[in-house]
Amino acid sequence: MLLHISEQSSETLQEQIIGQIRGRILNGELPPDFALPSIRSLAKDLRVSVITVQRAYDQLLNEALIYSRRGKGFFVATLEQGDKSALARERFAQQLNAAISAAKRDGLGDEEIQQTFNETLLEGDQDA
Amino acid sequence: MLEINELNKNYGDFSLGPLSLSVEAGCALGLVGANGAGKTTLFRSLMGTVRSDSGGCQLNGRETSYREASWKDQIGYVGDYTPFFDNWSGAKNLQTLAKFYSSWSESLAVELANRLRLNLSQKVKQYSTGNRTKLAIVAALCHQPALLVMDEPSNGLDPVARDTFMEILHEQLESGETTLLYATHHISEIEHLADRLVFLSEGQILRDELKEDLSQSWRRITFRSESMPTAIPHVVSQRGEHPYQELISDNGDATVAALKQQHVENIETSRLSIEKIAIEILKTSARELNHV
Repeated sequence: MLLHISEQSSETLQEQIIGQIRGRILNGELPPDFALPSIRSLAKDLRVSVITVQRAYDQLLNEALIYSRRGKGFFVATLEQGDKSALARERFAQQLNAAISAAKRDGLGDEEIQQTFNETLLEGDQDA
Repeated sequence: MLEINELNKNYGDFSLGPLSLSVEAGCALGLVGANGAGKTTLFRSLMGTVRSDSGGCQLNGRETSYREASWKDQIGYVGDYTPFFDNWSGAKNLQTLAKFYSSWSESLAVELANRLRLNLSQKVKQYSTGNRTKLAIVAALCHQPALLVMDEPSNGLDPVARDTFMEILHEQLESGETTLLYATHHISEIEHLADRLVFLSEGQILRDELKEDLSQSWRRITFRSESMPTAIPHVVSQRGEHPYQELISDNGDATVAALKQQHVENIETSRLSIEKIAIEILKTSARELNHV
């Protein structure tokens, strides 16, 4: 499995692996029951340490996005559409939180932030 | 599984240990320490080339013995000491070494040499430092040892050879049966490879941590404050330029919680690279880390 691992990212290697596998599960690219590479083989392919992949898979297990079968490895879990959108919303809220903190640091108030959000969303819709 | 039990070796005013360390099969362990911290003595004891004063090492239940040839079968070593004859070609050196190892694979030796772009028909005395290192890598890996002992192994390697070497090490680890000990001053070399980092200082283990735990917990923290608050836990180092303060913490969450209790404003945190964390650990090696 080829993931896009960047040295320059502000995310750790572990976060990049989690984020990309999660994204591919949520957008359906990795279908339910798809067999993920073993921890050691993914570590070799991405040239990261075994523990990095192990922790990433642990996190995906915690999020119930994947499941493990003893001796067989790791597989993509079956998700309801509702679960997917709830997860996607939760992720969006996290990213938004970081942006909101940055905006507040730059001195913007709640109303200004809200207005900018609405305007940006509208602009994005027009571009699309 | 490698087990080092109460290993102790004294040389004049230097003493290693008593040092105990247990490394499971498949683990890549980075060994970091200042010059003279004891890495080489530890490795020589492991190799069986130096006899410890007390304590010892076991690999998969078998005791180290410098007399026993089968012990060397289990270990691949790359470091300062390379047992090559200068007047012989790389190939002839390998053929001679092969006789001492039961599991030597000539085809693997040729494959590794090709990947590392090492000309085996040249005499070793014509080799550059990098090519000597490549020959040592080939010799260490082609008998598929259970334990790889690497002491500054990338010495003299050009960037492409170094990259190939890293790729090869990642492949070695895939089966989960090979244990890797890798000592280096260039922490960026093992930043991706190592599962675990052991910091050595003055012959003792200073810290023994899983790499992911280090990157999860260490933080650089900056905030606004008229003066540095007191009794903040887990601070490793600090500096300030009024009205900003900066801390390095080995437990970012605990440090931030304590700062918030003291109503400190504008707290910002960021992660540290493993290299930066390692430098902080080595710098503060003699200091108590718990409180400022």
